[in-house]
Amino acid sequence: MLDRIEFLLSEAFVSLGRNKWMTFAAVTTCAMALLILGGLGFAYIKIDQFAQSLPSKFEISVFFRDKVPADDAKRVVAETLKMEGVDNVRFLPKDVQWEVLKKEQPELTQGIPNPLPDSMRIRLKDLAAAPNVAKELAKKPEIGGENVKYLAKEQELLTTALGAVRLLGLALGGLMLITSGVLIYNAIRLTVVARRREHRIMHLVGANQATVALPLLLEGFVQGLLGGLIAFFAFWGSFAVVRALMISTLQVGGTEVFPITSSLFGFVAAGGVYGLICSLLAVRGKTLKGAIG
Amino acid sequence: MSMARAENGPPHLAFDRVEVYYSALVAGLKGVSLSVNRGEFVFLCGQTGSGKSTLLKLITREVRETSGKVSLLGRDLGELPDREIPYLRRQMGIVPQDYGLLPNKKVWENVAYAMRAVDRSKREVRQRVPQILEQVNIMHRADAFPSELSGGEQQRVAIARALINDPPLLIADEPTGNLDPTHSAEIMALLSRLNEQGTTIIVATHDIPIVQRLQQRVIELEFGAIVGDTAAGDTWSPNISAAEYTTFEEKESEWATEGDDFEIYLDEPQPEPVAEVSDTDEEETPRA
Ligand SMILES: Nc1ncnc2c1ncn2[C@@H]1O[C@H](COP(=O)(O)OP(=O)(O)O)[C@@H](O)[C@H]1O
Ligand SMILES: [Mg+2]
Repeated sequence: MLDRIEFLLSEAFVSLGRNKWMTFAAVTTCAMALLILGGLGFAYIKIDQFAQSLPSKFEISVFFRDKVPADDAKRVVAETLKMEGVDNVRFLPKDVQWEVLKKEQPELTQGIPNPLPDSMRIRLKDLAAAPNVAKELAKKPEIGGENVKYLAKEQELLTTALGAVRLLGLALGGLMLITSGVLIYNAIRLTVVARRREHRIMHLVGANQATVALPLLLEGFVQGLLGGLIAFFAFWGSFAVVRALMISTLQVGGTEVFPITSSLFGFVAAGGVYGLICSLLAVRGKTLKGAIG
Repeated sequence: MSMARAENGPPHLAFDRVEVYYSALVAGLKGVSLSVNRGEFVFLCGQTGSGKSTLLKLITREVRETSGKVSLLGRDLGELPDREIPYLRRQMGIVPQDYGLLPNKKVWENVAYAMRAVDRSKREVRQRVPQILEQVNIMHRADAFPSELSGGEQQRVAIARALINDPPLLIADEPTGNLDPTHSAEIMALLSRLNEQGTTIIVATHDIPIVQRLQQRVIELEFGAIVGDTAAGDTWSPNISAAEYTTFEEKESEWATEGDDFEIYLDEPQPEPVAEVSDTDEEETPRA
């Protein structure tokens, strides 16, 4: 049994060595395909998670019209608090805000009158309530439609970006995957041609079909596996780089931990299975009923 | 495999009105019936295209009969599922016409590789390979590459490889086609020795002198049909004129009807080297 496994392995590795460049091309494209699909997939999930977490931070900013009396403003705040989906409301008087701004930017604010309107920040319990709350507020004479700002635009942008990432990843990764598949397939076909003499001998002396086919399948499997392994390390590297970038520029992501085990397993398994499928297609029908004469 | 067993049980090989059509118009065999007992030595004779190879390929299940029945030890080969073909082939030794040696492997490795391919352990291989090489008298060349061997030596390696499964049946397609008379005689002596040890031997050939010398059973084919079946011990002469065997333009060289005539060997060297060069060329250059 052990001898048999050794024989099949050595047959497969002879071919891998023989088609060095073919193997190299197949392995690297496979790695790139997996990296793009896996890496962008990971990025997509992360951005999506971030988007999911937005509603809790979700806020509507409302600016009052000029010269709204303080009492009216307070009434509006009280009414807003009672609206469906509203968590809390913070009234921000223009004078208080102006004082803050003057402290932060002394040169910019010097010698000009306070241009700020009174405003309030509304935090929502529920993202879905945003349009309704915004509509109600816009109806009020103290406010007016153009003075209700909420993050619908940003939300939309994020969704579009996510869609683009997904589309790009799928298109590019899919293309690479097909290319690597063709390369693996071709490598196996080349092996079939290069080793037809050996295969003929096998058929001649009565070797099992498995003895002929397994080294070929193994060859594709190993190519996919290597591709997966390289993709894993490349992914690990890009993860570290992106995390370092995010920490240094955005001060976020410091707590993100690299999922070593699951990504190693994921990449290697995906690569191996893919390589196996490609070689199965290449071997299918071929070599199994070899002529010997 | 003793001769005594030849009398019992089904014949080693039986053909019953076997026809092979490669296409509607191209016939390989046209109604062949024959029976070969265990331990027999049979020559299949006939011109190129007479159906010798087709007949042998039916036994190895490389070709399937269009009609009729081929049986090996009573088993209908037409009924054999494809997945059992490897096990069928382990019951016979097959010596292909072109030797089929792996050029990048040494003599002993060629035999060892074949054994490993049929799941023999390394230990078994270590034990058995020297025995087999000894048996065909090529042990002294065990570490040579096929390209360093003469045609006769290469043929012996091919026979050695055919013996790895200890087959009760040995099939050789024109084993002397590329050999000079001396080496041809050596190979035939080797096959005769294996036959004396009980192996059933079937040899396709159009080498008339050799067939006549050995006085074994001769089945003669012409246009895919049997035109003669001469029992062992009788002197065979071709049903069609001997000249016709040699006037055909063939890939294999004809070493003349006179057997040992060296004149003819020198006079007609062209076909052999040309054939050999183109043969090996085609074998050694991967098409892609
Ligand atoms: N694979 C094949 N396809 C089509 N015709 C074939 C094939 N093999 C053999 N034949 C034809 O069958 C006939 C018998 O061929 P073969 O058995 O090779 O004869 P031999 O071995 O006596 O030279 C010939 O006419 C040959 O052309
Ligand atoms: Mg032939």
